[in-house]
Amino acid sequence: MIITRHNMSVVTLIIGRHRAKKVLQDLFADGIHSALLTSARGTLMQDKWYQGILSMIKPELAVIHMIVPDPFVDSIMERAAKHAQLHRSGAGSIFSKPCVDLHIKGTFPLWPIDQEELPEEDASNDLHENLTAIYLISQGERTEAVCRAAMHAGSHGPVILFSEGHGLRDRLGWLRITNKPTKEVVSVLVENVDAELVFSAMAEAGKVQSVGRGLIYRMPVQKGLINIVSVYSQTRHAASIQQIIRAIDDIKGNKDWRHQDSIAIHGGATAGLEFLTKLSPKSTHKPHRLISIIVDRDHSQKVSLQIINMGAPGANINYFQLYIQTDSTQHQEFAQINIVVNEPSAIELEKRILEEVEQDLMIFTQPVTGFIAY
Amino acid sequence: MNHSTLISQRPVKIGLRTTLNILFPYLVEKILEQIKSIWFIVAYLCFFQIVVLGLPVIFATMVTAGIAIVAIGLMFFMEGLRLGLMPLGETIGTHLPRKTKLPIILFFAFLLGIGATLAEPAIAVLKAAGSGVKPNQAPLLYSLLNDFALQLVAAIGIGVGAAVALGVLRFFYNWSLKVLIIPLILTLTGLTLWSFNNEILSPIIGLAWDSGAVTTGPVTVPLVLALGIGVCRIVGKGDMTTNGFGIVTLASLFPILAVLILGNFHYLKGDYYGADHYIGQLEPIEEVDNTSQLTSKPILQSEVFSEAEFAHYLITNEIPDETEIQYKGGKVSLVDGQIIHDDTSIIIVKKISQVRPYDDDDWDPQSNFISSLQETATAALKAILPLCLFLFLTLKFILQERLADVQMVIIGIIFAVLGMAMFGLGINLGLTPLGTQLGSNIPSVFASVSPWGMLGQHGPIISDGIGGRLVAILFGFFLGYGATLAEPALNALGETVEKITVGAFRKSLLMQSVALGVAIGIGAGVCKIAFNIPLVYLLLPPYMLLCILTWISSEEFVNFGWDSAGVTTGPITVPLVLAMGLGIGANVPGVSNGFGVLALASVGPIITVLTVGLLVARAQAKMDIENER
Repeated sequence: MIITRHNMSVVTLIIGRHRAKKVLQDLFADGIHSALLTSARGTLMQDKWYQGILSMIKPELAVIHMIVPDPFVDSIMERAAKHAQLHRSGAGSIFSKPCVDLHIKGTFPLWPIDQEELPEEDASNDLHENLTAIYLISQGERTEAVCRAAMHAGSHGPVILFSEGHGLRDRLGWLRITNKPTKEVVSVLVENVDAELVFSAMAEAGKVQSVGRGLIYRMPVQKGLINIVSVYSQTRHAASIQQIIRAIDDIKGNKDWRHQDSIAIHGGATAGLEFLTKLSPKSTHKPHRLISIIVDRDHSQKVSLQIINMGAPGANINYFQLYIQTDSTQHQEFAQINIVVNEPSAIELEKRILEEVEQDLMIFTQPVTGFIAY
Repeated sequence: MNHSTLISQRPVKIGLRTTLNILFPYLVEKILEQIKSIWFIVAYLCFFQIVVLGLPVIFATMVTAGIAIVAIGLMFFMEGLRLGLMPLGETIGTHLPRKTKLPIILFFAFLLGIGATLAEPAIAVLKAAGSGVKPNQAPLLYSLLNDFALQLVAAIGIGVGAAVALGVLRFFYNWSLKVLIIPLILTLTGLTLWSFNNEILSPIIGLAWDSGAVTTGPVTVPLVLALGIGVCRIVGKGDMTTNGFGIVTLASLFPILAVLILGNFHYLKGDYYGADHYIGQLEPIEEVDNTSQLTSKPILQSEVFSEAEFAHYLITNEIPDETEIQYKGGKVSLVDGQIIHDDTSIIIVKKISQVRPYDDDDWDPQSNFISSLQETATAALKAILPLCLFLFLTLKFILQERLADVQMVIIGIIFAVLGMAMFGLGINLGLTPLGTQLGSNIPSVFASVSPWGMLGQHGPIISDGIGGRLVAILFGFFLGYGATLAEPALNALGETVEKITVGAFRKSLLMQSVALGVAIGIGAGVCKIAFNIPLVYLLLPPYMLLCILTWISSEEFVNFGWDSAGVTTGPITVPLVLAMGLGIGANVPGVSNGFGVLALASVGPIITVLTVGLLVARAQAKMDIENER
């Protein structure tokens, strides 16, 4: 039996890992139904030569996904922001992305349809609209460069997740041992005005246009709040690029100035801003979709291989622990298989996955507004 | 362009050429990784032998071939861990809590611990370290190693088994590792002090502490780690940062306790060598000089004068150069303030002109490649196959589950066996001869010795006894550093730490802190042997310091630090350190065995990792304050 739900959104909360448990408990007390939790790391640039050997320990983060009906999104985001104290400097971020549609095959813990509204919160609405989420998936060796480029172009310190990459190599029989499955997902959340800039800066630094380097895509965000630390390095800079940009934002009272080519802070320490004048024409704006399939972790390998054999160019798997309201002593583990394909393929693939994959699963698609890969 | 981009569904068929094209970059990358981890120790050993000691490397071709085999073997072994052993362990770990009850899980963990101990031949290492033990000097130690060898193995096995079970139990109840470690250390310290004040018991202290260090080998550690991580994925509570760690720590502390208890038991029962109730053969067992296996020196042979040289001497009556005059027999008396030899034979012996290799072979004629390969292959099979079989059977019959990718796991296990066999062979051919040469030549910095595999006397390079010993200590320091970076189990642990913290905690940070700690520990160990300091003085103060450091450190660093200490003493460090310990010990009067160096090598890294942790925490707290501003 396949149930289809409309008007669902994915709310993502990123906070320090040591606080994840507490915030989740508070959210459950407020009435959320389920959450998927995984770990990530923050960014800390290494500027000293010896940090190649004795590297600093980077901030450990938790990424929490909640799949929520649209009417509840605002309320949940505000509650989460309150519990996680997101107004404080460097506390984390929260954002929501709409789903085009969502199908459930078999049993799956999800927000019940007949839920009443959550009790109203005081509307101290700090949430911004016009945000973009950018994800770059690569083998990891260029992560440092990508983060640097993103931050120079005005992003906060990127959040990095591990994912398991599958693709053509998995169809090569025993030669699939040559697949290095651990990929790093560099993700940032930026204002729309900065998006093109950060996107092309990251794409360039990640060399995603060469063979086998990875892929980058961006997605529209409905609402969000970013307060992620972006410590550039341990050495004391007078001010980081974003601090300068933020300060100018404050003085000007808007962000429109960033579009002007004539800003006077070129050169020297601000060399990263060269991207401001060099908007890359390379990115594809043909409509793409991100298909996400959530299945039991034990079956994820099999399902992803099946999907690749259906013709998907590649799949990235993130593993999550599922928290549901009933407090059990054991975790359930799920895998989220992500595939980016163009719109016609997405529709075809989604249909085939629902028809052919036997396992219980949840599948949803989300719009992708820019995509580059080899 | 509204067409689908889905790729055709035909299965991919590729030819040999493409296969090689795919395989080649993979192999290059993997082999480079291993070269990166072993180059330091190899370059360092060669440098020391050739430049500092001024001696050639004996059996150079064999050593070079051996080192190349080590690199290839390590490559296969690490890939085997990644593809086979670790996924197997993790899968079982995730299914255990879902499919069975806690008592069964604990029993499984106990069996796994015992199995792992039997698989990895720790006892052989202990015997080698105790090869110089004389029954009349250290009767209890001698008895434990010989009469009660089986009991010793059993005690260590039960120790490890109990440790793995306790480690798993800890995950279920989310106990802090600190709470388990500190009382354990205090107990061990108490027992050690009690034993130290007893003439019979004190020699077993080194054995006990070393047995803790050697039990956790390159197969056990990754397997147990993976198992722990698997279990924690399902039952983990708390802040989920250190999930899966800690078992290795317990597995290196419990055997110490077990051996100390076993020693005390036999002491009280009085059935050790020479005691009242001794039931073994009392007559000294034919002394097998194991030392000679490690440092087999060819007997020093004098050179002889030829007939021609003799004829020349008769004619010219000139004493040739490079000779030594010895006086034998007769009477010596003091007459009018002069020393007078009466009826004494004067012997003129040719001195060996210079130190030179015993023979010019580039390959040790005694080393048989085929039998050596057979030996290491058997050891690899013994270490890996029974454990994997046990795990497979558990998975199939007790958990009734399947692996996600059986084919890959089987390839991985084959790689692991292949890798372990090759890398054992490479160590026998390359690293051990190189390490042994250096180990026995190192004393030449402070004493005159006959270099390994060479004729003639060499040294002392530094005539000042203390200075020379300091050079030896320095040598031990860098030996420890380099050998640690090459240890496969530590590399696997580092990768696991990196994976579980999503890269927040880099492998290199852990490896460097651990290597520094091992270096300090081995330096201290050489110090112990060179100056014949009782082990207790060097072992107990660091452990006391550790209690404090452990208490004030974060749970995360306590787990990583203690676990990495458990894995430092592996197949690369142990032979090198033992060869060096025995070599130096042989030239210092009163040193009977090479015990204790390994124990010191495992306490060092805990101190350094915890210290680094505290420093990092301080730096980051400072940074956070700056951020808040």
